[in-house]
Amino acid sequence: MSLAFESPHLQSAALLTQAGSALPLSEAYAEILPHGLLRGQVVVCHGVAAYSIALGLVERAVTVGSWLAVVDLEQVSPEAIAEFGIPLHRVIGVTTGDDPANVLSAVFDGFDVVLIPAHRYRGALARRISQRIRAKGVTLIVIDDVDEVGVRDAVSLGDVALVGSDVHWEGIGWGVGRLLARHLTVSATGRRSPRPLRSEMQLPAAVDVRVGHINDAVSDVDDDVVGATVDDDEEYRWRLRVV
Amino acid sequence: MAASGGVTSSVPRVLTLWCPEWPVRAVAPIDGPLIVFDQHRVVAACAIAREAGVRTGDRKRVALRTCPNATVVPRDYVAEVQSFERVVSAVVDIIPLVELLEPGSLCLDMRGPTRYFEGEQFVVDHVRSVVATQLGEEIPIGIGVADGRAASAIAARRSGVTGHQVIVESGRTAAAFTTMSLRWFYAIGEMSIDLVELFERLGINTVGDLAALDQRDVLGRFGLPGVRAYRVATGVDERPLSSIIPSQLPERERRFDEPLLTVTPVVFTARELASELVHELSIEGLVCTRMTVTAETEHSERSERHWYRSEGFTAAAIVDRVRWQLDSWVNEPSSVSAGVIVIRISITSVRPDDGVQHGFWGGASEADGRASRAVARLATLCGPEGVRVPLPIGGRLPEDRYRWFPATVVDGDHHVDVLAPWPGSVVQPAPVIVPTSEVRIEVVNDRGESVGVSGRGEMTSDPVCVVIDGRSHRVVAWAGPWPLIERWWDERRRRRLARLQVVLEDGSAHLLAVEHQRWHLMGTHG
Repeated sequence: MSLAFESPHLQSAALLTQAGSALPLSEAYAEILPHGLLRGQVVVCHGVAAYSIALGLVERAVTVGSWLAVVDLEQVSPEAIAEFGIPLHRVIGVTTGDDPANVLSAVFDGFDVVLIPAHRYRGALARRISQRIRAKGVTLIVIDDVDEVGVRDAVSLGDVALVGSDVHWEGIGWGVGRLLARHLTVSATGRRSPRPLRSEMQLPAAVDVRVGHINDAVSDVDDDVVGATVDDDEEYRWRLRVV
Repeated sequence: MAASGGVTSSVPRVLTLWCPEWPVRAVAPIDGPLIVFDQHRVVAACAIAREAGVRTGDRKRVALRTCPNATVVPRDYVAEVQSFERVVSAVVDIIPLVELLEPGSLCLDMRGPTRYFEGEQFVVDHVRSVVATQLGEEIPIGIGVADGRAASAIAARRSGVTGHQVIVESGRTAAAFTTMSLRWFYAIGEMSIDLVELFERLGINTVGDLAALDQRDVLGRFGLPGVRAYRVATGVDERPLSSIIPSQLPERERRFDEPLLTVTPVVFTARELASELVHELSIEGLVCTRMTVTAETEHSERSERHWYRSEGFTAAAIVDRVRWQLDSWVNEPSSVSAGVIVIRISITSVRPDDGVQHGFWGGASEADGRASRAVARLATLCGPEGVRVPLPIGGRLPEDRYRWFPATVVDGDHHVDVLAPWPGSVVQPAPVIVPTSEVRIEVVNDRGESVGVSGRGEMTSDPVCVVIDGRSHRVVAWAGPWPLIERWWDERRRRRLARLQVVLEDGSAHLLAVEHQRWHLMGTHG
């Protein structure tokens, strides 16, 4: 509370009560979310790279000690979560089942950062959820990858909407190479900041972890695309891949 | 030494019955030498192997060097317990309060029987005769009587070896065992073999050597296990015997005269029981790791759950679990039709309380605590399958590499290792979304025909469009195919497929696979 009196720019009641309790962000995100990842806030990640934007967003917070609940998102691959640098021993997957309201309130009791799909954040339940997370100081991240709400509604749904655009994949061509890195522009639109802030970033950020050992399958392919190959060679390669 | 005068008066007189080499006896008889192992150490050997020089506690390879033609059998606890059952029931017939130590060994408090049979010698004779009737006269048994459990266990071992009963007079424990090897402490389960070997390396070979040390030094250097051994060596072994037959772990139960119709008073009672239990365990330096909570209603409806917590239950943690269990029980439709009349908490597993290591910044952090409580609570709300933790498995395909496992089967403080490299997998970045069920797609060329991968691992033509969910997306870049044959020797689990990476016009990237001429979506870089 004392922090609020020191600050000349009081922005909202939520900010007032949660002053100074923002979760940490990586540098790329700090550019577009100058107030940090606030507790009690709803962030909607929208569009083609919604999952990656969400994982990049929570990475720093989970690394320094917050727990992450991944609710009703069984399709999210733990491997990808780990690749974003998130320590897996602080990640829990939850399936809400028939009673989402009760289960979610138990989730908010225990976890600082919660990822849910957009179809779980609708109507009466959404209102209940947003009250609850403000009371508990939980940061809720809604993933809307199937264009369920639309960009305009994404902004009205949450306190902040993050939308990815201008996706460019590095390392892949027409029949050559492989996916190496994704560059994209992420723009943040808030209720109180109608002009979006943009940042170019690479997601996942740290690709260099395992790049040291490009493994057999890929190096084989690199050969393929470099020069014409003899049939016998290919036959041989097939056998090599027999495990 | 402390084993004199008034100090020993609180130490109970204990009789221990020990059947030598019981693990061998539980195995069906075979010709030639037989050795039973547990965790790579000898736990029992038959007479032939003994003669060859095999000793209890030897490493497996040492034992096999001494007795190369021996048959090696892993320990089978269940069979041992079953075959020992008739001995137990025979003894229980004459002396009801018996405590099972391990298969082949039991002990009992001498105070009552001595009075009933008018003398320790008569008790020993009676026990010997009923056991001999069960097992046959020719099988050697050891019976020892001494102050405290450990001393009497050692006495029983000695008796089993010599064939004569060993009765150590009250207060003479330390003197009687001074020259005995510390290996006995391993044999009776009072010391780990590592600790025994550590003592031996330091020149402490006999019980007398250990007893001559200062207790504070022992605590400082060897910790709690050392002190436990020291207490046994000096003859102050005050652990009471349980009077409950099979189990030595405490249990608390409260019956209500008036059936309780709300959860709160039941939980309140559980709080009392929990603090009693935790207090009782803490006196012995133990902490409960597994417990069973049972509640029953007037109409005999019953809720029973087993709870486990690796760091041990505090009283508050026990109460939390009781509340969660009752809450979920009464909220279940048609599970409860009357008031609760019994609440019972049984401890089913304990371990020495060595405290909890806290993190550097004042934690196992508050966030960790909240999260682990939430996990336990969620497990009751949405079932064990509803709360999962990610663990690496390993494999070449995205769906194989990591799995979500029910959180209840994983220890709370599990550590997730980084996956080792798997040659043949498609490298980083991994697809973020891996479909949980198969998603069929079409991959077509510029003429609208389906694209395939030849037996030689080549695309039949360039993929131009991908049809997902009936919607067609133009391909802007693609790479591959990367063929893969897995487990060709296994009819049911073999896979032969080729993978392809595509980037679509909206900027999304996907990993596709073709298997048996059909394409499916393996993952999406969402």
